[in-house]
Amino acid sequence: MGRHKVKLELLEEAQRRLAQLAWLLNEPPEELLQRALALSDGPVDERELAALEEELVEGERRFTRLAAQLSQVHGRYAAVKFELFEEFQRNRPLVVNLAGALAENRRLRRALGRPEGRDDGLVRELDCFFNIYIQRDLTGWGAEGASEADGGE
Amino acid sequence: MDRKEAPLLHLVQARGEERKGSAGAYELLSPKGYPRRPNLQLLIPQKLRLFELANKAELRAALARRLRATQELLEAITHNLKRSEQLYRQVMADRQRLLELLQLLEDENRKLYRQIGPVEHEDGKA
Repeated sequence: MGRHKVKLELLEEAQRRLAQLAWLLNEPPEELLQRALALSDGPVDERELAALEEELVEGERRFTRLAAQLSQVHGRYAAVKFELFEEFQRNRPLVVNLAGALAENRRLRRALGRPEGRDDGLVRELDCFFNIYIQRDLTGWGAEGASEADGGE
Repeated sequence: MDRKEAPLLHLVQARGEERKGSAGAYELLSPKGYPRRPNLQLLIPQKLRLFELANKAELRAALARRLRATQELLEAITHNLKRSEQLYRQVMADRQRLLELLQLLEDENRKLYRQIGPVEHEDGKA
């Protein structure tokens, strides 16, 4: 059977509809058009079609709202994560300085023959800071799971 | 029309590239007897309507999937945001406490140094 070549540009309404279907089904528009053209002609239930389209348009609106919310929350999250990292890093040298000051304090107390045991609470607190800020990185400290949602968008 | 007689469609790449943002330009290899343009332009919307109805279940499922996935992602990021804000507050509270302790120890060390008095080095300097 012979074939002829036809060049055409879709009408605006068809373009819009095809783009919506392609987005929704995540398929290239040309493949969808191919599938649509392969369908046998038949009656169209206008009421059913109108109801379906209304449903799809409403769904798309909901999606747009969610996507806007997502973009806003993601932006805020990225900013907070960055600030958190910066502030976390600023605490590290303070922990080191504190350990140095405590060691110096013990040395001075020893030199003066003073008891060293009274700062047990301080040592425990320092250990705690040491564990948090020196021995672990930020991810290990509690921001785990953050990366799961980071890349998913 | 039989499936086998359906026109072969090809996206016109050159035209598509010239007209960025327009996905509406197509080239068809159409069997003889198949409607020519402009009838095709009118036929396509009708075919798309048929397609929508024929695939209504698939379309509804796809929409529900997208909405669910986006909602879940939004919830996950919101959770992480709250966690990060909580950690941020904790880090700032830790900063305050670290500075307090450091000040306390430095003050005490200064007092202890004063009690020890000047230390004379080998070169005679205090």
